[in-house]
Amino acid sequence: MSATADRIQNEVERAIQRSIKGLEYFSSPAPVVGHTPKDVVFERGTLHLYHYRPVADEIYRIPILIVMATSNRGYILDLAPGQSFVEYMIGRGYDVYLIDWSPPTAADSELRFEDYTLRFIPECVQRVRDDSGESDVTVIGYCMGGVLSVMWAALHPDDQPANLVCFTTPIDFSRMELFAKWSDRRYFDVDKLVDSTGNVPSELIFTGFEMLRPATRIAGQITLWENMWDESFVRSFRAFERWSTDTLPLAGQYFRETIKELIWENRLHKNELVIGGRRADLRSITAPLLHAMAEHDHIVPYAAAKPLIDHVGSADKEEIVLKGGHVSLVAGPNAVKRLWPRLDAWLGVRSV
Amino acid sequence: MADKDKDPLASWRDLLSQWEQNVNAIANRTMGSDEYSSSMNGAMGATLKMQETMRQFMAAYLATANLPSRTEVLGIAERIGGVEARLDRIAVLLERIAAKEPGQATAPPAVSRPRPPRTKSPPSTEPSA
Repeated sequence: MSATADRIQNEVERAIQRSIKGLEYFSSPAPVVGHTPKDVVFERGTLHLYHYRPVADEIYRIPILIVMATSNRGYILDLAPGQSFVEYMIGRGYDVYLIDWSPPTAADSELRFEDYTLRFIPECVQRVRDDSGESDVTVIGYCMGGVLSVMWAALHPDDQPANLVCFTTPIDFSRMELFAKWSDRRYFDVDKLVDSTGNVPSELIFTGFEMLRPATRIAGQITLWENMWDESFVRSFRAFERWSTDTLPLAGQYFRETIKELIWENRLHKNELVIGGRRADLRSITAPLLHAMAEHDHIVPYAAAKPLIDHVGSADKEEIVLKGGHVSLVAGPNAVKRLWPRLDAWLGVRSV
Repeated sequence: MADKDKDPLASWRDLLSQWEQNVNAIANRTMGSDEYSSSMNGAMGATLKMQETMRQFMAAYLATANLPSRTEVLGIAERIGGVEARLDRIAVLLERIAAKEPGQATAPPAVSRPRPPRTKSPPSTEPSA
């Protein structure tokens, strides 16, 4: 009887807190993200290369270069204290650099795979070498950042990364079924879209992601209201919400190539992708490879990501499939317990 | 299980989760059809056409009012971006020239700040204290 009374009292208190904090929620500014101290190493147009200041007394010999997905902001990897991948890695003794992207301007609409894989990433790798004084560099790519990293590594058989780590990286684009359906060449005129918009608007990219799970946003708002009394939940929810709506436009030519070369022709999977006159043969990748995927990834399903391990020529390669979704794999409270320690265990012994 | 039984909102949460999964599954089935793809892309084509017409209309209006169009403003922004990019390249060249000066073995780090030594070993191979 007393337990029931306690529960009722608890629920009443929560209901009051919901109302008070609900008002605060609507009147407070957006949450601060990307708090880990960093320095700009290099910038060119849409590209920004950051170096996070080390905090450990000694660091691993081999620095890490993270390549962020082109459609989203890099602060998902530095969301909030205690939920920051970057903060975790520098705390574990890694020297971390990150390639982040800003919205492409009209002048960037001509950027293509060639620019990202033969110009941007090689230039940043060299910058990391110069800045760190180390010739070996580990490259970590997230989603399309992983695709670009894989293309870059395949195009540079004589200049491999010390290690290559991919998070939810699609290779077989025919298995990204809804995206493939929506961009069906019988109905989708990608040339008309790119020719009339220049860069593909962020609203279109955002809507594409949202349509994969149309009920999730509504369910999320209801869950937010239910947990409005819990400050840490609200803080985390707002940071994720801010990031998920902060989608980037995509450079027009780059989008056109993604649709035609990857989704329509599936050339990366078929080892037929030619960039700047060179074939991106996945068998040319010989660096130690770790591919982390999520069990419930609705953006890059397991079937789309799985072929990477089979295709590369690396002798030292491993895939891990963890609970979670496309974003919760790399960020948030679950990533703290699942992916990050697994990555640390795999990478630490390969970073000396 | 006992905790779940006591929580009055547990059933509501289960119901919400079930609803979310069902709606997503139904929507995915609908959106995975040829008909949906065809109509979605048809609507997008119509929107693009409308935007193009509006753009032409606005460009004509702004020209009449002797005001710069968005394209022209973006053109100026691009040229400023181009100047900044060229300055970046000049800065890189200067860094490389500085690195070749006597006493500079390699290019200096982008930011001069004391760096910890690169001597860390993974925990299992670290010597015990």
